[in-house]
Amino acid sequence: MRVPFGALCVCALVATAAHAQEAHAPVPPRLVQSNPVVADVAREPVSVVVTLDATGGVTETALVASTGDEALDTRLLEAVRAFVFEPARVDGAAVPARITVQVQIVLPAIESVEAATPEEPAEPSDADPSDADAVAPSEPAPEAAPDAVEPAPEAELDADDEGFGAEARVEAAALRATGRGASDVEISRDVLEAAPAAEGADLLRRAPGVYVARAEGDAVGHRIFLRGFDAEHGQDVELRVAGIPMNLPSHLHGQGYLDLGFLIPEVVDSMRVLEGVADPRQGDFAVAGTVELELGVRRRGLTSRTSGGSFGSFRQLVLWAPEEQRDGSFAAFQMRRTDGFGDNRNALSGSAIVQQVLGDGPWRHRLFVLAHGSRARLAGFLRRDDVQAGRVGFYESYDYPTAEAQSGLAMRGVIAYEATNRQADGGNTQLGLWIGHDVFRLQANYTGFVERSRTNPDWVGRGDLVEQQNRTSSIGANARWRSRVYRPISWVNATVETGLSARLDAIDQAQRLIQAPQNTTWDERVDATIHAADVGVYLDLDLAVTDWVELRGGVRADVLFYEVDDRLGNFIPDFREDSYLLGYRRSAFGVAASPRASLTIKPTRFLSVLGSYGEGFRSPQARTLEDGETAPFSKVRSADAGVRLKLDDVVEARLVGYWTRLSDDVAFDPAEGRLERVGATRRAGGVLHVVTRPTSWLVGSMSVTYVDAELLEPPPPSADDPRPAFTKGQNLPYVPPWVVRADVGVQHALSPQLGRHPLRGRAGVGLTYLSPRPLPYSAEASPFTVIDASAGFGWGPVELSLDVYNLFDARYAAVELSYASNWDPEATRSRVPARHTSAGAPRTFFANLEVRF
Amino acid sequence: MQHPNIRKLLLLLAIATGCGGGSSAGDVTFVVQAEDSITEGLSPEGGDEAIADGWSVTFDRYAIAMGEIELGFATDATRQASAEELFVVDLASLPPSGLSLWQLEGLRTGRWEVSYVIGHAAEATRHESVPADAYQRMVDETCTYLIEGRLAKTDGRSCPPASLATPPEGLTADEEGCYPAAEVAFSFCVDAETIFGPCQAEDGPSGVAITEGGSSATLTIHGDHLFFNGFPEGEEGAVMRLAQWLADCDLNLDGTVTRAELEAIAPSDLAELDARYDLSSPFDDLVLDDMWTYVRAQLKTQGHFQGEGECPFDGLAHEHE
Amino acid sequence: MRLLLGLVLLFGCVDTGVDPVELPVVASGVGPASFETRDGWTVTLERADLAFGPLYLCTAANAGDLCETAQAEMLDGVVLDLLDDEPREIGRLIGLGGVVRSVMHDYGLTWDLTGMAPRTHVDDASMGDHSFVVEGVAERGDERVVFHGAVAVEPIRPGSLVVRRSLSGTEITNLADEGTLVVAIDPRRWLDQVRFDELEDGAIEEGTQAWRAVVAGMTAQARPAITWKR
Repeated sequence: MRVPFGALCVCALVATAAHAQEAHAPVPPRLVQSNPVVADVAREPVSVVVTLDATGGVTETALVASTGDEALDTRLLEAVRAFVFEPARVDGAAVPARITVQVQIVLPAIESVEAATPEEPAEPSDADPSDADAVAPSEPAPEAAPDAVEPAPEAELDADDEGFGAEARVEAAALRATGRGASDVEISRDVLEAAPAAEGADLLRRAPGVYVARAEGDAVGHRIFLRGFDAEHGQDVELRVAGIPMNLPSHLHGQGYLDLGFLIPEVVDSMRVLEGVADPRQGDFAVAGTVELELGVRRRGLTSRTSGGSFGSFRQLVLWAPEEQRDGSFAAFQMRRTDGFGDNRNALSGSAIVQQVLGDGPWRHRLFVLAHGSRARLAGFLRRDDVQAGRVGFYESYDYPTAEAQSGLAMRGVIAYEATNRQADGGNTQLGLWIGHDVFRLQANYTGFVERSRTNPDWVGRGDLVEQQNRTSSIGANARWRSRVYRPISWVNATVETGLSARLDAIDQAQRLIQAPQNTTWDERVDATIHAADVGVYLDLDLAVTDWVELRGGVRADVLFYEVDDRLGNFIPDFREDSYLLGYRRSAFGVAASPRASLTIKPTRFLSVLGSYGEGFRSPQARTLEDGETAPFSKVRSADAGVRLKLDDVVEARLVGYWTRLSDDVAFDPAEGRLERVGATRRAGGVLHVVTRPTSWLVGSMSVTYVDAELLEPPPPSADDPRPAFTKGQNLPYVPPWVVRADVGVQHALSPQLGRHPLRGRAGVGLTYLSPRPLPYSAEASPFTVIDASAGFGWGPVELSLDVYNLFDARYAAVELSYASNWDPEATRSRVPARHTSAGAPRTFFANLEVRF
Repeated sequence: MQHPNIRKLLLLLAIATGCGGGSSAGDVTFVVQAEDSITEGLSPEGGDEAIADGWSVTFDRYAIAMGEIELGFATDATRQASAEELFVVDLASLPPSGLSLWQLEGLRTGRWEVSYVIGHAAEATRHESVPADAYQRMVDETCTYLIEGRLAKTDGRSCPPASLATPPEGLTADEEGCYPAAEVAFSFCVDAETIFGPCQAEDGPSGVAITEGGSSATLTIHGDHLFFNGFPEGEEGAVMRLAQWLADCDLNLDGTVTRAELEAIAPSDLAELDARYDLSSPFDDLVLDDMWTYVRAQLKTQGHFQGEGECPFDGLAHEHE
Repeated sequence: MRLLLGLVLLFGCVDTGVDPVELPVVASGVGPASFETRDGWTVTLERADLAFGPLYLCTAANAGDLCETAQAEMLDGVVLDLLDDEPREIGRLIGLGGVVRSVMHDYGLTWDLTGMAPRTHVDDASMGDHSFVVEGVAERGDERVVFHGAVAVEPIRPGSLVVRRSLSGTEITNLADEGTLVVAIDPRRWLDQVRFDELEDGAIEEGTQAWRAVVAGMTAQARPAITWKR
């Protein structure tokens, strides 16, 4: 089927050897598979210079001229890198070559990739004929005059077969406008892959201002910091994977709980990080921002990756990406086990992710299945003064049954279906359905021996081993409709999108105190069932005013409903005579409405000036609501302004200033192992983010994020907490004012041919720096720098590599907390808050063997 | 806009924005509620809450002057509201549903901190549950509480300190210095002015959430602190309830304990106040030189919130004044 | 990069709210002079040793269960000679700057949540697991009683301290503004209500009026006073 318009038109010309020689009859490269690129507004054709090796593989891509839209440039280059070519040949021998691919970009519509046809004649290349020398100076240069291009047979490039949606990542990104202001960043795959990633969550560190740590151990959610927000376990960061919201509302261990343990780094195809609030599609928990992960596998085939390393660690990955299917289709399985560094850290986890992209023509279907399980022993937090006094080792755990019994268990399953329809007029429609189930169980002791049973106050001193159980069953749907482009005036293009998201969660949660090692229960703190529903609707307008100005924005409204069966509500202590029955059932609702807008001005093709403003929200912990209470959302106001400089494909730099104000924040309360309200907060800061690709084999990325995070209104003293840990005007606890991240990756052919295959080499380094962070009760956490590195060699289907995490063996606390505890039952109890640390991993080696079949 | 559906959607969004964007208002009603120990009395049976030394306690009157509720918006300390009225109410005759006495209207919805006062009857309005003469006594004697009731125990004894006892002629003590007393009455008009707050529901957030549909909160008065063996500031579970000390304060053995008798007895005079007791009162300005002061101090700890919720006494809320 | 490091140094400092404090704790007794009690006894103390500590200062209006997290503490237990009116340093108060509104402490015997029974934290055999060891002579007219006592003031339940009180107006302060905590202890009032004529062999023993009077004095009537020096 031919596509009427909106096609990606590839006019392929060999760009060519220095001297065309008829006798050699060079055969130009031939495009055999391509991916679509769509844009939200019509644009001039874009020329991309593609360098091919002798196998036809793309080794380098470069835009002849930027489109002025960073996201579109990125997508263009990503798409072209994934093209499949047959190599140029001279006398039948494959040779390197350079080709100019001219991409015509039109409206979002049914895209396809076509070869040049007589109706769409190939354009002459203006490439420098000497280019080929640069590509392969030692080889006889292929020569091809512009008119020697052999148009690809139409059948091979027909949209139905190859062009439309061949690559889900690009397709999904292009269905609607991205580019929401100065802090909308897409982290490309080469940056994601530059430094080693011990687990999928590590990929988030590549984004500016993000720090991710396993504070409590495997099987417990990551602690995420994003641009001045201590997002705890996800309360301030909305995370979507394959379009599915992953945050768990009203989770016992933390609002918006996220455990990224399921994520297999090898299947993350792209990561979009929108810091701040600017897109009407951003929903609950998008306070600090939103992270969207799209999954896909470009290296097709069956891959096995076996890793072994320090502390008895082992990882096995099996990745199957059938050659004949689209990049979005794959099945991946990983198993990880470790004895753990220090005490009490052995862990085992397994994840399986299957994604299948189906459909032809205007309809595209995606099936997604996720299954994950993990169990780990946890070392817990240690008092810093105990470590300094040698009472316990930095990597050890306290030597009491109540400490040794700390453990975590996580299980999660998600099944999702998504249908996409691209209409002939350029509009598109998407409908997604998903169901999920999550199981969480934690045994953790933060405070030692200070708790008293509420049920029977005579029960004391049995160890504060808090057991938390949380089970969430969720069903959700999302739908959106995007119009074709309207042109009310000739120089204005307008698109309208409306969207809907809905989810229903059934949550069972319980919190108890248990006594190790028998796990006898000596107090009950929580026993509740919660039903929560969230229905959100948004409107998104997208205006392109001439080629220089883009204005995007709209409004979003969410309605949330809660029903809480708090079985321990109206608690009757043992010593009180019953005069009623235990329990407090209640319902509540709330509405959150918020505008969002972003503006891009492009005075030159190198420079963009960007700004955005948006209001977002975080839903409340349902169990804190009273009957009929209007759910008190935490409202965030977020503004960004900055400039972006893009010099072709060599350097991209962004300098952004931002400001956010949150109506009421929460902070972790170790005594209860959960989040408690703090008060209004304000953040102001800046981000410098530079990505450079000076050559085809080198990529570098660095970000420096500064924030001044201030507590505007501390929580009022209460009977329960007469001495709040916070004072007005102080810097927010746990938030590092400075976060620096740098990634450098190189990969290059070390030998053009070694036997049947060339020998490839690659190396990468990632650096993370966190400045001193304030802690509650006036303490301050120490700064640290951690460097991860990896190097490997590949030959044909085999790759051997070595990853080193924490290269210089820095001893650092992954997370520090400050609170009162008593970890010495023999000593007089201290009640003054003390610093507590959870050790970051020491130097860890991993040797990897990867085989592709 | 070229698509009619979009106009409809915009309208819906505008409505939603209007609903969620503004700050709505609500009312709150405060209900005074008596703990069962006041309305039902205390018995020597029934688990940990029982009187451990075998006495039962019945309150015939438990009049209290309370009110002056102050509210402060949790996230904006400058936003204040108050219900200034003080009411004298007899808690012993309250219906199980309590008594709604205060209402504040048009408050911003959200969470408000709560504090309230046990004040003087002279500044309070008499509720119909309190007879005029009882109210007048509270006014005349500058009282906040008027508590009348009885201790009963079949084989009860009163063991006043020998050095202070003035038994009627003909009544002789047994070999332990005790006299038969199956029932001992008491009638205390007590000045125990106290500010309670900020109040917090048991295991819940601080204060009260005011909703658009109207909210209510309960000011709960406990009646058993008089018989505690200490002054627990929060957790009441580990305390013991004992009543013998009060029976022992009937110095003249007329079957009624009076203020004058309590004022004449120092804590050390009562053999009953042995190692089971913890006399460390939180009130630095109330020196427990006599048992009348002891009674005053115990009554100053009885204000609670939403049942078992805690309200610090004479503390932070006092500083807000 | 140099610029970056400079910026880090320039802006890297964080405001953590309030600063830690460490103040000397100074205690004084009353000297050896005689005094007269409520019942007209003239008492001359020959020994008045007190085990003191731990001590916690709290932001909470009421100490005890509402002071799970204290503002400052002196954990060491010490023995004080209350017949020495010379102020001397007995320990360090370690904590955080901020307002303190209540105090709680033990007299050397502490019942921790993890303990089966109260135990002493004072390393002084002469105290013999007691809080207050007193010896002296009480005289009233012709009556003369040589008395002695060793009183153990124990918490009645684990986790509780024997003295928990709100600070008075002049005692409430912000620790960040203070230089020294001065504890003044007057044992005379502890003996004020003792009926010396009822003592058997001059012994102040548990179960007697004298014992109750001393304990009531120590815990409720004449608790150590707190003042501050800048």
